[in-house]
Parts: sequence; C-alpha cells; structure tokens
Amino acid sequence: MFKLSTLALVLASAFAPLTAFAVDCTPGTATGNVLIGTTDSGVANRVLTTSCVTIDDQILDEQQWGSQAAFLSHVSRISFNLLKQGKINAIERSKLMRAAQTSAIGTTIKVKIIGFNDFHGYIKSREGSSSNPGAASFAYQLKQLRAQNPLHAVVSAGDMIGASPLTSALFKDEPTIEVMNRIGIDFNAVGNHEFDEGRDELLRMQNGGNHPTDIYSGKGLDADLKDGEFAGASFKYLAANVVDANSGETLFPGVGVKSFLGSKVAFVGMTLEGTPTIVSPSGVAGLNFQDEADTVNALVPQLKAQGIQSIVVLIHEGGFPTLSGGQCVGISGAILDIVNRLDPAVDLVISGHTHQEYNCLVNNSAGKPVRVTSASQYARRLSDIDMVIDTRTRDVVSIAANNVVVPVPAVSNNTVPLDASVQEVIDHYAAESAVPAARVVGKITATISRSMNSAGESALGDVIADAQLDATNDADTGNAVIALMNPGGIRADLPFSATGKTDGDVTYGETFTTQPFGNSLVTMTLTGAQIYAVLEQQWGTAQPFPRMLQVSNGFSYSHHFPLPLDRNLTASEGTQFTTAVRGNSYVVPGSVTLNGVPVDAAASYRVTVNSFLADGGDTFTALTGGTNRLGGAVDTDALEAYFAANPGGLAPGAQNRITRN
Amino acid sequence: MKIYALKPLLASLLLIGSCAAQAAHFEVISHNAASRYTGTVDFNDFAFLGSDVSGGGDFGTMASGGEIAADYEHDGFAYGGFIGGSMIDLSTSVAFNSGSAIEYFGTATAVEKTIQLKVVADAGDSGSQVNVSFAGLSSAFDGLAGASGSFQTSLRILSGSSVLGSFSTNQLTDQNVNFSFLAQANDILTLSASQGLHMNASGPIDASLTGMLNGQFTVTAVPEPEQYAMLLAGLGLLGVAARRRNR
Repeated sequence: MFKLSTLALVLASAFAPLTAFAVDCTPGTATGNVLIGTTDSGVANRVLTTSCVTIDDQILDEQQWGSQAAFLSHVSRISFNLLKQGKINAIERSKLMRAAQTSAIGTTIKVKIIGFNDFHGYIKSREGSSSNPGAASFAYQLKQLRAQNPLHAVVSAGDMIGASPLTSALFKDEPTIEVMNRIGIDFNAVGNHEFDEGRDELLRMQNGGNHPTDIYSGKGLDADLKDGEFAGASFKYLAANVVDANSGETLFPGVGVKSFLGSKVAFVGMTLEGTPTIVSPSGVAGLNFQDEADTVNALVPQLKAQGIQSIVVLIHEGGFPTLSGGQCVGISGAILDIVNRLDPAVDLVISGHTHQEYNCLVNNSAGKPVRVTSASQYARRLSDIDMVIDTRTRDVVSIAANNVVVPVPAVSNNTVPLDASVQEVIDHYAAESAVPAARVVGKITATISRSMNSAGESALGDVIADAQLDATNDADTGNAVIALMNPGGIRADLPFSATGKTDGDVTYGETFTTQPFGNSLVTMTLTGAQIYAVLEQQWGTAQPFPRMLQVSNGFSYSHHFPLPLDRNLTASEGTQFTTAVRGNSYVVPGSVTLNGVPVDAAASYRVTVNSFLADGGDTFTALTGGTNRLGGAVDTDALEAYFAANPGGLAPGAQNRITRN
Repeated sequence: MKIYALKPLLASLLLIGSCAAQAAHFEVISHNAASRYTGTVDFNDFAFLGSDVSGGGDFGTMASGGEIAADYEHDGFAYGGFIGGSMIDLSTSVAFNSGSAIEYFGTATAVEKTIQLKVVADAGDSGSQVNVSFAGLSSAFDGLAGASGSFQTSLRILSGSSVLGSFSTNQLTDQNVNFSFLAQANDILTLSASQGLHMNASGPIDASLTGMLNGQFTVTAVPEPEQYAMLLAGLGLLGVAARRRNR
C-alpha cells in the first residue's frame, strides 16, 4: 500500500502542470480580483476551501443566463451566504453585485442552431455514392456541435425521407425516422419528397403505427418500437403552407417554438409552393400549397403577439450558387425571390431542395441582408449556426454560420468517429436488408451512367426506358410502342464495380437506389400531336430548368434547344432559361419518328410512362390527356425483368435517340 | 416499519406526485418595480436609481453605487427580481466604513409594486382549480455594530381586493415564509413585495445592514373528484399487492 501511494504521488507530480504548485490553496489567500465576465469587481478572489474553490468559481459567469435578473439572483444568493459565513464583507458583496450588473451577463444568450436538409434516408455510409458519410458519422459530428452549447436546436429543411436508398426505403423509411429519434432533432419542415407516398403515409411517419400492408414495416429494434410497432417521429413535422382543402387547417403545425432560458425562438417550416407539380398528384390530393413568403409574413404578427421576436424559417426551397464550396457568388433560384419578400422580422432562413451547399446573405423586403443557409445533401454537411439573442428584446442581434463537412468513414481501418447508438440501428437494418439487397438481378458490361450527353440523353435513361417498353409492349401488358422516363426518377448510376459484389453484377439494392420511388407503369394512348406537346414541355413555361425525358429504342427526334443539357445551368444561363428560352418550341418539326416512320400528329400511339408522369408530374401536363390507361408493373420489377431477358448483360448504348441540331 | 412496506408507500407517493405534477403555472402579465440606494455621506448626498435587468421570462431592477474617498468608503445596492414566473428575490444592502468622524445615512429599497400574474392551467389539466403555495426565507445580516438601522420586508398577494397570502417582518433573524391558497385558472393575481432598510452611522466605524428575501411559488392543478377516486383506487390496489407480498 505504501508503495502504491508513493507511486501515485510521483505520478501525480510528474503529470501535474507546474503552475499547479504556484496556486496557494490556503483559504483566505487571493491571487487577483474576482472577474465577472471581463468586469473587475475590485474584490480579492479569495480561496474559500482547502479544495481550492475561490469566490470566482462560485459566480458561474461562464454559463449562460436567461436574463440579468437571473444572474443577479444567483450572485445575490451566493454572496449573501459568503457574507453570513464571514468570507466577504458587506461592501464586497455590494461590489460583486455591481460587477455582476456591469458585466452585462444575462443580457444576451447564444443559441446554437444545427441545420441540415435533403437527408433522403442516406443512413448507411457509401450507399448510393462513395461520398455519402451515413448517419453514424453525421450523428457524431452533430452531437459534437450540440455539446458545445446546452442551448441548441436541431432542425431539418425537408426531404428527410423519400427517394431514399434501400436500407431505409425497403423499410418504408422507418429506419431514417428511428435514426433521427436517436439523434434527437427538434423540427423537420416537410419537403416535396415527404409527400411521395401520400399524406396518410406522411402522417404515419409522425404518429407511428405499422404500414397497413408492407411486410417490411415495423422491423426496428425493440428500443425503437412502441407497442411492438413503428413508433413514429419524436420530432415535430412542420407544414405552415400545406393546408387541408376541407378543414382549412395546416397538415402539421406551421410553427414550432423552443424556449431558451425564457427567450423563445419560432421555427416556421414549409415546403415549396410548387410541391404538387413534382409529386404524384394522388399523394397531395386535397391539399393546397400556398405561397412561401406570404405564409411566413402572415404568421409574423401572430408570433409577435406571443412575445416571440426570434424567427427562423425552415424552407424546402433553395438556390443554386455558381461556385461550389458554399460561396454565394451569383446564387440564383427560387429562394431569392422568397427571401426578398420576407418580413424583416425573420432572422434566419435554413433552406434546401436544391441539394446545394451555401451560406449567403440575401436581402429581405426591407433591403436588409438575412442569413440563408443550405447544407448540401445526403448527410454530407451540417450548418453550424450561432445566434445571439438579446434577452430583453428577445430578438436576434447577430448570426454566424458555417457549413461543416461530415467525413465519410473508410471501408476498412476506418478512423472516422461514429455514433454507436445510431450505428446500431443502421447495422440492424443493413442485416435485415442484406439478403434482398445482395440478390443479383442482372449483368452489365460497363458502368451505366445517368449523365446526359449534349442532346440530353443518358445511357441509363435509355436502359430504363427500354425496360419499361419491354414490360408493356405485349398485347396483354399495354401494346406500348414508346416509353418515356423522367430524369429526376433516375437517382444513381448502375456501377460496374462496387464492394460486396462481383464486377458486372447488378444487385437489387443498386436498382432500388437507382429507382427508389416504387412507381408503377401506366400505358396510355396519346396522339402524335400530344407526343409533340409532351416533348415541348421539357422546356415548358412551368419548368424551373430543362427536364429531358429519356426515350425507348425505336423512338427518335431532333431539337435545337439553345442551352447546355449535359450539366446544370449557370446562374446567368438559368436566368436566360426562365426569361427567354422556356415556353418556345425547339423540337424539329417532322423529326419525331418511331422505327424510322415520322410520328403523325393525328395518329394514336400507345405510350408508357411511370405513375408520377402519368398524373402530370414534373409539369408534363400533356400526359394527363392520355386515354385508355392500363396500369402495369412497378418500375424496379420492370427493370429486373429486362435484365432477366438479357442474361448476357446490358451495355451502355450509343445515346443516339435524341439528336441536337 | 418493515422494509418491504416501503415500496408500496413510495409507489403511492409517486402516484400522488404524478397527480399533483399536472402542470399549471403563472404567466407574468405586467411588472412594475423600482430600486434605489440613496443617502448622505460627509455632507454630500448620493442617489443611485435602479435600471431594468429583465430578460427572457424574468423581470427585475437593480440599483447599486458606492464611493471610495480618502477617509471613508460606502457601498450599497437594492435588487428585486421575479424569475421564471415563480421565484421572488429581494436583496438590499448598505455598508459604511470610515476611520474618521464622518456621518453616514444610507437607505436601500427594492420595491416590486405590482406583478400581475395570470393563473394558467396547462393542457391536460382537468378542472380549473389550482393550488398555489409559497415557500421562502426572510433573512438579514446584522453588521450594525455601533450604528443604528432598521429593516422591513413585506409580501402580499391579492385577488381583487382580497388578500390570499401575506408576510411582513422587521426582524433580522431568519424566518420561514409559507402560505398556500386556492385559485382558479385565468385568475389575475397581484403580487407585491418590498424590502427597505436604512442605517445611520457615525465614524469611526465599520458597519452594514443587509436584507434578503427569497421564495418560490408552486402552482399545481387540483385533481377533480373522479381523479381522487382513481388515486384512492390505485392506492387500494397497491395495498392489496403489498398485503399479498407480505404473506
């Protein structure tokens, strides 16, 4: 025992910093004065106990106080006790109180807002893309940020679920909700993809309960279930501009309020007004989507009447910066017009939808700059936002924001820190989905990419359109002669090589990630004139950017669209598109052919599209005029059948169906 | 008492606790307060008036001042606050130290003239009656030693003109302050509280007088009769369970 304690002493003296010996812990001795914040109280900072606790240690000026009054009450009680104990005199107590008031501690609080957007169920690292960090790395970074400040809120600007990869989507995105429940987030504004499976399914995401028919629902770990079923989100969905046409009520509350030591911050959540144009109409039936800025501005007086002055908007609508890396040079997009019209009471806008990273200042309706952030996509970034609130006015006085990179874990010998609790959920679902995900559905001879050529045609678009035609061209499946596929429904490439499979194999997991929506095929009769109209709607007046439909073999046409199609438009090109280009005709008359024969405006053709397009999705309203509709297979099943019909493997095609003159 | 009898007892206490824990609270409608430290020293007058220290859901004012001259030092303050819709906090202090024959008269007052409180029965409460209880401590530090002075603390809570609870003292000794009353949801109550003290001292002297009042209101919903019935039924079940375990 003696030896052990000696050793401990030696070790302690070896590791203790030298300065430790300079501090005299004799009660009553002092080194310097009590500093409250940066205010010198003029009172000697005496040691109170043999364990070295000083007067200063008891003041707790480093922690946040919701008001000067709260801090003064604390100092009053501490100093009164010291007075009664004879540790300080009455004059010194007065000086401590005065310094506490002069320090201004409690006049402001600092609140950390952690924002993200377009998570899209990418819980498993590297699923869909090797750039995706996954939710365990995301959660670790998020919790690191959150630990910096006990006053915090974690918020999402929509598309948390939907268009998600297999590990989440196979289980109806319940895994993503369970991951977010474990992380602990406060609010999620609805985005367009929250409506992918309709309002009832979205309400189930909030309220819990298993899916009525899907066998993969309710497969979570016991700790995440409630009464043996999916528990629903422990965070609140917000939908200020989504109004039930019957009741006139919003689908979810429009505003979530969080109080920080008595100062309230309102989070107004909403999706883009144009949500119905990019979601299957059946999913949003009976819901009205209202103007974003008007919705916020109408809420401002109500919030102020409740004494709320700090207002954050979570909006699933965004912008396009011309430079990557979060800079704001030449940012364009719908978010600009929205922020330009916002009431000056709005202090911060956390945006999304465009999957971009930015951290910008955009002028509000009073011409004053407002901070507008967006954190890329798929858990790759977190917006770390520090907001200083004046506790007296309860309004925001300053905001500093920074987009933080979420590192991607290595496949082997990983050193990226992961959150164990979240990883447990991911591992569970990865194991549950391993067998269906790894099932080989076909072969390819090279990577088949969704990247478009200059005419607007992609190799993967061709394969998917061909698969959809093949699934519907028989007499009993629809007699289709043409298939058209929307580019936004093709979410990822089919890679030749990937971990966990043999080169050239295509797994069910990969086809699912490529086509995660579960749309079914619809074959309809269109006239040649309607086909021309559909093609012209690719750059129609309602399109935010050109959307090139992918077409099946045998169908061909030429166009002379004037802007690039093989990349995103720049800001100036985007402006050119919306002001001068869209709404014009660019299809070369007479160039539209089927198997070499010109399409006749008056003739009828059987055309296959997915259920999203069939309802006029992506503003292809001409498709709603299709007649003699016949429902078909689910899109991934059609693709799988096409692979089965081509056992030798599919190769990227010539991409020569669409030509540009 | 046998050890195993503790469990059901604790459980029943928890049950009562969870019943009583149905939250209700005060909402501050208005706050009217002032504080000052004034007096004379060495034929000079001084007056330090309070400024607002409110913020978030807290309200308060504070005055403080002092002077270090060649042959004397004085310092005083007055603070009054109502914190988090439930805690009243008053403190006043005067202090004078001189080695010379200098006269000092100082007074410090903290006055919460009117704090208007609305009784809010939170969601989930059934019935509109609430129980309001107050628990606090009045205290002072007597450093008069050769000087003279006096101290007064008062607190009163009204509904209209009827007094629901009050406390007043001029004693320097520690005194617990406890009272409780029933109120209805949406009642507007008026809380008033003040503390004042003064000291006159002639140098050479080192003297002070300090006062303190701190206390907490607790507002809880009063269970409706049927809730009492459920509570009793629950207690009965626990009793049966305990008896069974005893066998």
